[in-house]
Amino acid sequence: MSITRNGKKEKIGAMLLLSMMAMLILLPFAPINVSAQEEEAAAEGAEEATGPEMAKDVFYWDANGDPWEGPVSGPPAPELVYPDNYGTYGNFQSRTLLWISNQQHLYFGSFVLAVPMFVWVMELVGVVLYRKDPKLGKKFDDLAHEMMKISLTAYSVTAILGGVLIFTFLALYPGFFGYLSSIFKPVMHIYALLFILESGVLYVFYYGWDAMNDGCGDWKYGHMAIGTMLNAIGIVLMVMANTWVAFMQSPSGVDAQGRFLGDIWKVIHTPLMVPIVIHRILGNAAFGGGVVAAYASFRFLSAKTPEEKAHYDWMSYIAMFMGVLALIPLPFAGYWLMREIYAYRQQMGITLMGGLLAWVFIMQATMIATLFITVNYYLMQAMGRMPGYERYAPAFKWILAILVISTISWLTPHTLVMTPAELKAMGGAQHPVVGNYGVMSAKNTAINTMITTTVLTFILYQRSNINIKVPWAWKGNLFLIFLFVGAEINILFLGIYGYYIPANVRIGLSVPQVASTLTCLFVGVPVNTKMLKGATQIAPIRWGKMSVRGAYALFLLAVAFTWTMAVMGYLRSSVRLHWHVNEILRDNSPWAFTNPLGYAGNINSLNVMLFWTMLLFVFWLSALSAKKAPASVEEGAGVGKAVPAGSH
Amino acid sequence: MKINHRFSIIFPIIAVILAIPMAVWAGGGGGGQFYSAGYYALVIETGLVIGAIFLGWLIKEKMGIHIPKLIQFPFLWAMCYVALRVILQPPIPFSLLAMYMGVCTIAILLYCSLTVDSWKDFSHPIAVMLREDHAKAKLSRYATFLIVPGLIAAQTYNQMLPSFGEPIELRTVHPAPPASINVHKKLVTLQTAENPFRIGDDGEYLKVGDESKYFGQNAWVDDAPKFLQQVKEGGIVFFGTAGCFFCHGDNLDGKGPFSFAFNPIPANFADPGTISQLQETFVFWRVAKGGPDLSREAFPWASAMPPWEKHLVTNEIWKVIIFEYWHTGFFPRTWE
Amino acid sequence: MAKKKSAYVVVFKVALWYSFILGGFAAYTNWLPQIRGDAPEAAEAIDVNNITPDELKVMGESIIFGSNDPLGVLAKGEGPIGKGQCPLCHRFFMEQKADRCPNLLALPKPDVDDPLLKLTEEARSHERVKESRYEEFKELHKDGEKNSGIVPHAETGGQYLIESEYCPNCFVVMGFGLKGTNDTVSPMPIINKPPILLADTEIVAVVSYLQTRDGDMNLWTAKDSWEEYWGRELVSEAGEEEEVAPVAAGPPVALGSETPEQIVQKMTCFACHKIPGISIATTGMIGPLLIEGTNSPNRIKSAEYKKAVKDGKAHATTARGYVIESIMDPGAFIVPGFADDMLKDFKHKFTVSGLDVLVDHLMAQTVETAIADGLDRLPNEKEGSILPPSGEAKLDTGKPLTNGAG
Repeated sequence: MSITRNGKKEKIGAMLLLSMMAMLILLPFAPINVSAQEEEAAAEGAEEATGPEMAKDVFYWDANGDPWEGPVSGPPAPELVYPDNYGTYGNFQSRTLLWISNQQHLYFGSFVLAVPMFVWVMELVGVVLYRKDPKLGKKFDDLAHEMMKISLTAYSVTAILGGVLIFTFLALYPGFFGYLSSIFKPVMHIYALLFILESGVLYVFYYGWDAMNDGCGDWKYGHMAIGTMLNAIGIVLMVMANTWVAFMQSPSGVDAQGRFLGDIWKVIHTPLMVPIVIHRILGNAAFGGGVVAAYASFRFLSAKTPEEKAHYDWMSYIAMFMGVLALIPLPFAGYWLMREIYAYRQQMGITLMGGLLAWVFIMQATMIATLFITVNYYLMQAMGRMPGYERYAPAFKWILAILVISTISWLTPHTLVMTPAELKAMGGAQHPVVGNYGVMSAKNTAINTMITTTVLTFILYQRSNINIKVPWAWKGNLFLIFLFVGAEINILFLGIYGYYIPANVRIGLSVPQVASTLTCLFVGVPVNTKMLKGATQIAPIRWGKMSVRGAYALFLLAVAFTWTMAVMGYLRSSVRLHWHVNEILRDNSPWAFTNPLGYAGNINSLNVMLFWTMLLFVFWLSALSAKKAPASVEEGAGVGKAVPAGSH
Repeated sequence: MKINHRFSIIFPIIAVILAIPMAVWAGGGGGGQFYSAGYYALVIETGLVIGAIFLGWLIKEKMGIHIPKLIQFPFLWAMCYVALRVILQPPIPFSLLAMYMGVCTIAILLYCSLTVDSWKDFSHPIAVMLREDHAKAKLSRYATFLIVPGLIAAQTYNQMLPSFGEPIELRTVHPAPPASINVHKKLVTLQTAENPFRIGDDGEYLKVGDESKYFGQNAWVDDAPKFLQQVKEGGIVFFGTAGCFFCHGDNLDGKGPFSFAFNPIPANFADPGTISQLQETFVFWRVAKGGPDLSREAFPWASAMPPWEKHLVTNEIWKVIIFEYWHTGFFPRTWE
Repeated sequence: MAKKKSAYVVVFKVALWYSFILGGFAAYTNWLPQIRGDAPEAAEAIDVNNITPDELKVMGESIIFGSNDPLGVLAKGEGPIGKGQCPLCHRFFMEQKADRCPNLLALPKPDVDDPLLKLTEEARSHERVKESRYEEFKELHKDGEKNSGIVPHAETGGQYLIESEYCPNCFVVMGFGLKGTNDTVSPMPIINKPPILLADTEIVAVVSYLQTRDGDMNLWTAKDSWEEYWGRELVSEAGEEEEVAPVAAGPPVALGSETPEQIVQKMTCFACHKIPGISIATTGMIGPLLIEGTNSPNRIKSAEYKKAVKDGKAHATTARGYVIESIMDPGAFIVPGFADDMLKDFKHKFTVSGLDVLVDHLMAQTVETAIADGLDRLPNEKEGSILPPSGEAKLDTGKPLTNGAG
């Protein structure tokens, strides 16, 4: 270890400085609380004098089941008038302009929030592995470091895009923005201050990386603590940005006229806020994994040396793995969100699932199916680098067949598009065979089957270059077979059973279905890992020998993540129909209509293209700086050539 | 891997095989005229698939004949097409067929490229066809480059050809209901309203699902339980007062004596995609307000359903709903 | 794999792949059904409790005229006629020709010679309920007027205006009753029933317009009057959206796919003419009985028509041509005994096939079909009654009333 006592002192000083900085930045919170208390006191005083006007909350109820009442503390939602309260740029649809600037900011925001999560996990893995295998630990650590560098450039792009977004709001939707900021006034500055804090922590985290890197010593843990803080602030930031959106979709804490009722927590904690936040965190993580995987694939394809190729092959695999880990719970989180939406407004739920926006869900189903098939395909391609995979190759086509059958039932719409002649030929709006796939039971069965199959592919991947040596191997294999066949039979049985029972019980069925799937994941994978203990390798993994198709599959995965985010954003925004804030603030602009899906598809593709072009620029920038210090990355990346850790 | 240039000759064959379904499409979907119960079709289809797999296994394992992926591709594709277009009855609409075939096409492409070997198997003949300089490769090259643009031209021609079919209707069959409706001067909030006749033996509200004990029982006996008495009265509305069966059918399957005259045809309650997917209050809304109250995406002008509130009293509407669920054995959707 | 690749080539290939994927996704979304969700129009105007008198006035104006610039429409030589169809018979502007029903001008014209224009109906409405003639109508309809079932019970001017819409027979202004009924039966249809079929809120809107059209909002009592008259609260009923939906801008057009009955209803021929075979056209007293199978061959041979041809006004040479001309160019020839009152804009409102449908129907009507439907010529048609003497009993002459102050 090259860390001297002297160095240690410096580091302690840095830590102290950092915590002081954090305290300073946290300082503004105190006065806000004081002023809030003052306001409360003032309100109480006023109550004694004249009694403030009390109004009923649109959502919250008190213990007696009556609407909760709060003191009116803000102006009512304005009746917006076009063109007075709306701006335009030429003949462009203002809504589309705002859409694009919002989406770009969101993409970069998601990226810079997801990468630290990803980095944090990688760093942790690195530290844990370091004890047993310093080389491997170092490898993960360098991977994390490299990702952080990309995130740093993206961070400033995010800030710039945030500025652009605010200006777009002010220029095009001043009336709406004014109302929303009047509601969120108490927390707006916290948001801004947190952003500054986030920047500070981010810089310390990145620039302190090498200085605080002592393998798996105290300094490393200190560094990881900073990483934890970075992620915590990042998540709080994201939650705060989300509350605006959640408020627009399901307002609470205001009365029917849109007047703020004095309790900011009730504004933040809207009926849909928690599921939206959970859904978004998972989505962010999956998206981050996808973007990193695409970056690594790109470097893999353009690598000039076998070592570089091996490194990026490995990196893309790790990133893909992280992304998929977040992807697997995502459908369940989405399911929960949908339930909450139905509970909030049945109308909103039906508009989404069966009404105006039902076709967007067919598009979403297409995207999810694309994601899962791509993941499986990638894993099968990736097995190409693992000698011995030939033993499992014959199973691939059956796995594919299961996925395709699931996809077909997952994609079958409830409302079919057909000519009247086709309708007559079919004898009804529902097809006697295919119509059975259009309902929820079939969809749940399909998605659970797809996830289970993906887990199975992963298990095959794990053991593809391995000869299992544990004495209980046959028992283990038998167990796995029973586990998967049993789970699938359970999923199928429950799916079919769902046709014969009422919907409220049917909703309950999804729990055992999901449980089967998760059992496969959380029991099957550990059992399989256990079986690999003490096994002999047929040959080591030949990193860098993956087929080009695998790399292209990862690009598809990344684009599909990005595109799915875009289309779901369109969905979330459209379900408000002609409201800025649902049932409170009406959109009176000429763009209050809901764009058809095709238009949204075009804008989404444009947005995704724009985002990846900008990302290319970010990658190029980070590659520029890498050229100046080739040793740190390239050497660390070389398989089997890891530099002794801690030598920096 | 023994693949040589002989196989490049198959390109014209593929093109011809591709041309057959295209010709069927161009013909505007002739065929498919024989009808059979859909479930038998499913059984036949499954049998055929298993048979095809068995045949493939025989050829590969027993006869030792290796069929390159490039040849498997069109055969698999045609198999999918036949299964979805001909065997699956009644015929599915073109939009769905196109969606399914799109998935199948991608899946077969993935199948051909699953492993390094299979990809070679698939792509090598193409490379030979494009690159090699001997007579056979040349012949197949020229033939391919003639037939492929020809196919595209034919497809374009078919698309440009004016067709006189009725336009596609994008009707949302079950649109979002209003939050509340006004029936006989009473406000019914659809989210929370309950069927007043859903009562058990104790006279209390019967939870959805608990009515299954009454399924299949005779509602017409004198000492029938309370619930079944409501069912009976609903049945009287269905077959008597309102005459729902004229359109919705004696078996509630949408095949009443008048149904042939309607476009769209009356709802089939026996289908798992209709009332079993809907709340009782949704059905109440549909019965009370009929076609005219549908939202725009549901094409109010296309529904022949009358607003029954003008002919029935509220209680009769609730009772006929009880009857419909009881008769079909479905349960209304609930959100709790 | 060992081939050396420039990063630019990779960028190019990956960009191609991206474009392919993104293009594919976008194409797929465009292939899926496209449904555009339009924001509902002016949904906030439904709430009758929050709507202002001004808004009601504007709403009433567009119900009456189909436009919020009726004078502009008049200036273009067209009839400003909306859903309510009021201007067909009532005179709202001096520029407009309509004297079948009491005038509804904005302000009285005391200095005009025409006695009909000296006072407007709104101005008089406050006096109506105090007239002794109103008491006589109360007595006449004490068991409920036979079409609407209403017993006249208006107490104020506002209530009188409301009542007139729901029950036109509850009070008939002197000189405006159906001929031969001694001013006991009004030619006006019941406004809340087909074919006009206005909703309650729309009727309130129309009355609001009448009360405030000279700009004095103090005269507005429409909503209160409605509630007092009916003794219940005014609520918007089902079908609210139709109520406030802006009236279609263009005029209605008669189509070949429609029945004669539908065309007559759409074009409101029934307001002035009786037409055999059309169930709604049995009361029109403004124009001749349309039995063109009998009338037109005679008319075209008449001396008056030949004179019109000589003057270069009329051009028809066949009976059918005469009927078509009478619809397309009503001023070409006026049947003796009638005034040039017919609207001149039908040439814009018929498709050729729609005109054929109507003319076919009219040409098929003869004296026999009219008798079968119990219809007779008007007294001012010089051809005289077609009914046998006993048939005259069919006309409801009503009970003679004394002349009230008018």
